[in-house]
Parts: sequence; C-alpha cells; structure tokens
Amino acid sequence: MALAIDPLIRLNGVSKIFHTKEVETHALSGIDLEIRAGEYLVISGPSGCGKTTLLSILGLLDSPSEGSYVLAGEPVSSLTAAQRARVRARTIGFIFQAFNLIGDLTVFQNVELPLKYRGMSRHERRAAVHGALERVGLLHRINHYPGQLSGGQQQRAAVARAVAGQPLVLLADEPTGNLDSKNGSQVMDLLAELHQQGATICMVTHDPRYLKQAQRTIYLFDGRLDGHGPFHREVA
Amino acid sequence: MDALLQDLRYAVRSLSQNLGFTLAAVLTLAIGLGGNTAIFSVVNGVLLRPLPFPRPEQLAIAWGHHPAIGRETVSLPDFLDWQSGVHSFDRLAAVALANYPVNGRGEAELVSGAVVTANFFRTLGVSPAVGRDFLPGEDSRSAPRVAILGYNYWQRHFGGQADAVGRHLDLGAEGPYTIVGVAPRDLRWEGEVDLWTPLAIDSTRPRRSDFLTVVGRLRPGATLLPAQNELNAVARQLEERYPDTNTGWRVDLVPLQEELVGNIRPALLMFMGAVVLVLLIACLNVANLMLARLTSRHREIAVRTALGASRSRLLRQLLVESTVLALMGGGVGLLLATWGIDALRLSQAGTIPRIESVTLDWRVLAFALGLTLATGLAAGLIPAHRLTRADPQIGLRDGSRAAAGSPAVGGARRGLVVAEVAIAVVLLSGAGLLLRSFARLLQVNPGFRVDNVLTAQISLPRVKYADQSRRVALYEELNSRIAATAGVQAAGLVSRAPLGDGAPHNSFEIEHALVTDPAAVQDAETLVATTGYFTTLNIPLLRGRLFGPEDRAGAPGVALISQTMARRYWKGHDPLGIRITRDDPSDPAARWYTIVGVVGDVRHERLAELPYPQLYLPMAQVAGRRMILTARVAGDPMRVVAVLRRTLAELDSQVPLSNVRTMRDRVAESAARPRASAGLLALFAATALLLALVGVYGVIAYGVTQRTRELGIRVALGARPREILRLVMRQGMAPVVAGISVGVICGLAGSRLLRSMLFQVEPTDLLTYIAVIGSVSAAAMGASYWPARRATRVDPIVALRSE
Repeated sequence: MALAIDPLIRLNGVSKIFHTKEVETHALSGIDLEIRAGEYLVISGPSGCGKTTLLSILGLLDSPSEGSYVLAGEPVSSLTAAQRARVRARTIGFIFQAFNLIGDLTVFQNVELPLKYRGMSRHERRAAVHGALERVGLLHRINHYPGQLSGGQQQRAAVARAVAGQPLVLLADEPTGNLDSKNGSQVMDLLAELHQQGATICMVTHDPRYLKQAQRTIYLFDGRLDGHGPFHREVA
Repeated sequence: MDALLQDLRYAVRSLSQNLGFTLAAVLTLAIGLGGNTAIFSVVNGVLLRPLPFPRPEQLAIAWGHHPAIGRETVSLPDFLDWQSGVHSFDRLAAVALANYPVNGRGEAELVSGAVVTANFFRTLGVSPAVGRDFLPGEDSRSAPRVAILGYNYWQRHFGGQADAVGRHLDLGAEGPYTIVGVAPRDLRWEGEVDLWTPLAIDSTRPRRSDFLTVVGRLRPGATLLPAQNELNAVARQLEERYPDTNTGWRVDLVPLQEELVGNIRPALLMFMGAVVLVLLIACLNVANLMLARLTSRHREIAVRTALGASRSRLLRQLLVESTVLALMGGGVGLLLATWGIDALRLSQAGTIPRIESVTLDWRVLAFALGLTLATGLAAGLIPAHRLTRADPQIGLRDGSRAAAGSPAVGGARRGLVVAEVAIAVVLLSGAGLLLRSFARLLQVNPGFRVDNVLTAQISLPRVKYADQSRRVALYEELNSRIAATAGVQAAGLVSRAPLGDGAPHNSFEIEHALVTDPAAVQDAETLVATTGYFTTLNIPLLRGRLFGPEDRAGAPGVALISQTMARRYWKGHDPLGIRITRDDPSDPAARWYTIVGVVGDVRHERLAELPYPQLYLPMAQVAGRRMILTARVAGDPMRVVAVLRRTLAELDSQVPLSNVRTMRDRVAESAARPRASAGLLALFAATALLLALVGVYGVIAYGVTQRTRELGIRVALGARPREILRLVMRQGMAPVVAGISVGVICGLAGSRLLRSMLFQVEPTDLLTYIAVIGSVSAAAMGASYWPARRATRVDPIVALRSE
C-alpha cells in the first residue's frame, strides 16, 4: 500500500472556521502537517479540540476554510463534491467509531460498497472482498447482516471495507470507542498488522493504551497542533 | 366521557401545535370527502330521491316493442285499445312533446309544449297549482280548446297572476286556447314544458303512426310483470286483428324512475366508485402523514405506556385525533361539495337527467357525516395499531428512531404508496379509455359537413298554413332569399336536422316485393328535404339524381334513399325506379314514391350509432309545418342569423324562428355526455394521481430524512451525487412500480365495466395503458426527484458523528 510520493499528505496553514448565526468558531487554526507513506500516525487531544474536524479534512469529507491540502501530489482543497467523492473512493479507507455498516446490506455488500463506487468490475470486487474478509478473519460471516454480528466483528468488517480497495491511506476515527477492551485490542492488533504490511494509517484516539502502537503522535489543543502534549512522541 | 373530552382537548392542542401536518391532512381529506359528498348528492338527487309524484313506484312507461326495431312510441289507436283492455292500471295516459308557435306578443315565439290525454295529470297524481285540471272529454276532437300553462312560463309571461286563468292564447289554430290552469312547479316531462294541451283524440289515425309515450299508474298491489303480461295479451289480440301493422309488436313496461334515469345509472355509479377511490387515496395519504408524525411521538407514547396507559386507551386517543382531523376535513369538504354541486349542475345540465333537483339534503349530510367518521377511523387505525404495538422500552431508549425509522413502519408506508399508486392507475386507465373513446367519437365521419353550417327551425302556424302549397311557397321563398344572401354559399331545408332532432321511423312496402316474413319490418328514418339540403351539407349523391323542379305537388311521388337503405333492402339489386309506399299497398289511395337516387349515409341520431336506413321525400311534395333551414356560410354561420330573422319576419311575422344553432354545436351537444363522463373521470383521476404523488414524495422525503446517516456513510465511502440520486430514486420508485403493476392488473379486470361507455376502443386498449404507465412513471419520478436531489446534499460528516 505504500507509495513513492513523499509526503503522502501535506497540509499547509489549514484552518477551519464554522459560522453559526453570529458566532464564529475556529475549529482548526494554522495546521501544518505531513504524513509519510507507510506511516502510522495518531492524532490525539481532548474532546472538542478539532480531531474529528482534522480527520474530516484529511478524508475529504470537508474542505479547509484556509490553507492547502496536497494528497498524493495532487492539490485537493478546492475539488467539487463529485471530484472529492472520486478521490475518496480511490485513495482513502475509513474506519468509524460507530462502525457505520449499513444494516440492510450483508457483510459482503458492505465491504463491496466502496469498490462499487470506484467502478471496479464485479469479478474484481468479488476477489477484493474475499481477500479483505480473509485478512480480518470474517470470511465465514460473509452473508450475515451487521445486526447478526458482535461489535468486534462489525468493526472488523468495517476494517475489511476500509482496506478492500487498497487505499493510499486508512483514516480511523476512534476505532475502539464502541468496543470492549478485548474487541478493542483485537481491532488495534489488526491495524498494527495492516501497518506492518505497508498501510499508511492516520488514527484519531484519546485512549492512551493505543498511542504506543503509532510511530508518531500529534496532539491537538483548541484547534492548534501542540507539539508538547502529554503523550507527544515521535518514532523514527 | 371525561376521558373522551380530555382526549378531544389533547387532540385539538396537538393538532394546533402541528399546523403544517394538520393543514396537509385536512386539505387531503377535504378533497376526498368533498368529491364524495358532491357525487353522492348527484346519485341521491338523480337515483335515490323519489320522483315528485305521489307513490311514484306505481308509475310506469309502456313502450311498443318490436324485435327488429326495439322500443318505439305508441300509436293512438293502439293506446286506446290498451286503455280499454287492461285492468292492472288505475289509469293509462299518453303524452307527446310538441312545440307551439305562440302569437300575440310581437315576434311569434316557439314554446315547448306537450299534448296529453285529459287524465295525464291525474295519472301522475298531481293537481294544477292554479285553476283546474283537464276535464274528461276535453281530449276529444270536438271539445273546446283549453291549455294549462307551465309554472315557469306562467311566471315569465303572466307575472304569476292568478287571473291568467280564463285568458286566451293564440297558438295558430282555428281558434284561441283558453287557459284553465297552471301546472305544479315541479312538473317536468323530458325537460321544461311551457304549455300543456289536451290531445285531440282521433281514433282514425293509422296504427303505425307512433308518437305517444304511454304512462300508467298501477292499481294498488299490482306489480309490473303481471301488468306487462296483460298489456302483451292485448298486443297479441291486436296482432291477430291487424296483422299488417301489428305483427311482432309487444309491450315493454318500465318503472318511470328507471326510465328517466336508467341510462345514467352506470355512469353515476362509475363516478361514485371513482370518488370513493380518491377518498381511499386521501385516507392512505393521511395514514402516511400520521405514520410520519409518529417519529416525534413514539417517546411520548412510550412514556404514557410506562406510566400505565392501556393499549385501548392509547388507541382511543390516537383515533380521536384522526377523527378530529376527519371532521375538519369533512367540514372543508362540505364547502367544496357545495361548489362542486353548483359546478356539476352547470356543466352536466342536459347530460344528467334530474340534475336540477340535486341539493345538499339531509340524506347527503348524513352520508357526509358517516363517511367522515368512517374516514377518521380508517385513516387513524393503521398508525394507531403500529404505534401501540411498538416496544415501549425501545421508545424510551431510542426515542423517535425506534418506531418511525423501524423497517415495519417503513414497510407499512411503502405499502400505502403501492396502494395509492395502484388506485391512481386504475382511475387513470378508466379516464384514459373514456378520453380515447371520446377522441374516436369526434373523429367519426357523420356523413355531412359540420363546419360553417347554420341550422334554424321554422314552425308554421297550424290554420294559416293548413294548405301545403302555402307552406311550400313560404319555405321556397325563404330558402331562395337566404341562399341569395351575401356570404351564404348554399341553403336547404330538411324536416329534422341531424344530431338533436331525431327522425320519425316509418315502415314502408316495396312494390311487387315478396314478403316472406311478416315480422320482418321494413323501416327507415323518414325525412323531408330539398335538394339544397344535400348540397349545403355535402351529402354525396351516389347514384341517380337528386330532387328536381319537376318533383312538385301533384307530380308522381319520388324519393331518395341512403346507401345503407339500398344495401339492406335491395341487397345488391338496383333500387332506382322501384316504387315504395308508406301506406297499405292494397289501398288504391296509397301514395307511391319512385326511388330516383341513392345518397350518402348520415349519422342522424347519434355519432356513436351506425347510420340507419334513411328515406328522403321531396319538400315540394310533402312539406310539413316544421322545417329546419340549413345554410352553409363563408365564415361564422351565426352572422346570418339577423338576416334570417328579418327575412322570415318580412315573409310572415307570425312564424317563429327557434332552435338556432350551428351544426358544430349540434355535434358538440351530441357528444356532451361522453365528453362530460371522460372529463369528470379525468378530473378524479388527476386528483388521485396528485394525491398519490404527494404520497410518493412524502415517503421518499421522509426516507431521506431517516436515512441521512446511511447516505452520509455512502458519500464518505465514495458515492458520487449521481449515485446517491440514482439510489434514492430507485428505492423510491420500487413501490411505484409495484403500484403500477397492481393498478394495471386491477384496471384491466375492472375496465370491462366500462365497455358499454366505450366507442371503438377496447377496454384492454394497449396504447391507453402504455400512456398511463408512462405518465404515472414520469410523474412519480418527478415527485421522487426533489427529495432524491436533497439526498445528494447530505453532509458526509454525519458518518463521523457517533449515534
């Protein structure tokens, strides 16, 4: 999954301002960040510090109010909704805290969904879904519905959905937030394994137990990068 | 009772807090209930309300009936024989409509009249509003001339003054008529009658001169079938006694109410069925709205349940709400119905009998109230049932998502859309078939020119024009003057104009023909015409010649026949030169007519009926007292009316001009009923479709709201706007497609009921169904497009938010 373009992600002076009635909220201010291909980065910080906003900008779910964002060498700050959707489908894999599997679709269909949006052929999709589910150990649940799975299994299915298309980067938003410690550990082991295999991972968490798995942790406070956060650490 | 009042107060408060929902539901129900009330008021006024006569169930019409001809009016001698030969009836009376030229008030006026036997009013059981009834014997030829005024005519011309009785009217007869009474206000006979006069009974009239409608009042306790058998026994005696004229003739006895409104019954019942279906859609829509509203109410219901409210208590509260909604809808619907009834009275006058007696009476109000209450229950039952069956624990935990967002409620709402679309498709198919049928009717070639032709009736006073030569002279002078008028391209005269005037049917005998079957009647629509009539109306001469100047009174009789008459009675042989008579061929005084030409067929009675054999006699030889002037005009035909009136007044100011209409108007009037049926059903179908589309829109819009998170996830995973659009529309259209399928199947099954109303269109007409499927699909796609477009704007960030 690693790519020769380095850095894979570059944010320069990224700010995000939300306007509600007469109130202006600065969710992010002057973020400069680079993520290298194959890196495992954790974004941490207290609630309301802007972690999720940063992740949504990294994942092209939102656009920065100011600053530039270059993803895999391409500037992506001012793409249209359809263009952003295309880049998301080809480049980014998401793992959500609430799993976000679609209840009406089977595990197979859920994992297949981003591949469909990418425009892959049925044959390619089938192979990719089987491969991804095998990696997360859920092949035996391929025809089950999310409601028939445990929380841990659901998140593993979500991980399979995120990696099935071999995206350039995996963005994980509190992936263990809705899991018990045992299932949380299993999911984190899975992410570590994916990283070992070359995946670029950017994870938002405020659980100190999982910080050590990352190569680098950045700390956000009031929408700004704080290099001296309590858990700041960089692994070469 | 207290609890019910409490529920009522709560319902009013709850509905007033949700004005958008309340307004939408009330309007939807008002459309359904208003339509039903309006149409039921017509059904009530026309079919259910008794006729304005005492014991109307005892009244019946007796028609002559022949297997080859069907129903026919009755000749005077036959009527007199029936009258003296039956005992099942208290009275048998006879009536014939006849227009009178009334002189003495400036320009002569033609008034609608009826000649009746002296016992006519007594048979119906009515008494004059002023003055007296006709006395026994006043219908004999020697009796003094008397008349009874129609109520409205009395009001219009005599100011409603009682001293009108005793005054005289000049009806162009040998002497004036003395007014002896005024008919009751409600008395009508095939429409408004201005003047009633006694029939001058002349038993020497020929037996097959059929012009009387016979109405009888059965004796108390007597029933229809024995009475008909008794009349038929008399008819058989007449057949034995008069085989030349009465062979095959029997009697058809029909209840008067059935006779007056019978042929409109299927159409009215169809309309009633259509508005019931519209109401059903309205109910389903309101049920849908209420289900949607459960989103915000599930927690409230769960709390109530947790606090100990029983299921029946909750059900009652919800049903009280839906009933309050229905009552509000019913109130607005009643208002819509009063407008609808006025509109129906105006638009359907002349196409629906007794439409003038349609009002909002107690029966209609009771119907409206009953329907409103039933609607309230029906609309509230499904949502109430769903809500009170939901698990209160889930309601307490998850609030609105538990009930409204649950697959069961979503399935129920989609099911309602399937039903709504199916009903709309059934109605649209019916309306489509009737509209196609109407279009076909308008495309029918009537056999004559329709555009730029004026028709106007000339009615000559009886005494002044007793002499035929005088009649012919006036007609010919008028015709030649009008033909010479600037802008008039051709003019001609005919005894009855097509489409509206009817035509007398006369039997005839062919000279030297071998009659093998005495019951095989040779019958034709008999018309008197000038050559100008054929050129004015472009009726083609197919063989032989038209009438010429040599065909005068005193010259050998000549006749033209239509193509259908030539085919039917000469079957490939040449009819030219053959003589026919309308009299007894064995009578030395019989008048014979030589066929000199064959002309094109004319659809004389109705556009939808195949042409009947037609026999034309020359006006110069058989001019009657009534003729229709036809004139083909360059441009608007009505612009020569003033010249026509002036010319006629110059010739004789006592001759009234009436029934002035263009031929285009006659065609339009003849198609009025199919047009009204198609138009009304199309209106109901369009309303049904509109309501169904509102339902489709509501379900999809609600689905988008419910699925915001799922859509956000899809967008986050890379779905482009057009993929979201396609997904939402595809899922929204699924119940629509199912509804269309069910609707087409039901429509095909039900369309057979329309067969009798269709003209040259099969109930399974493929084009109609394709058009309906296409238009419903397109409209539903339009209705689903807007919520689907909104779905494309869902912010994918919702995927990152925790539940």
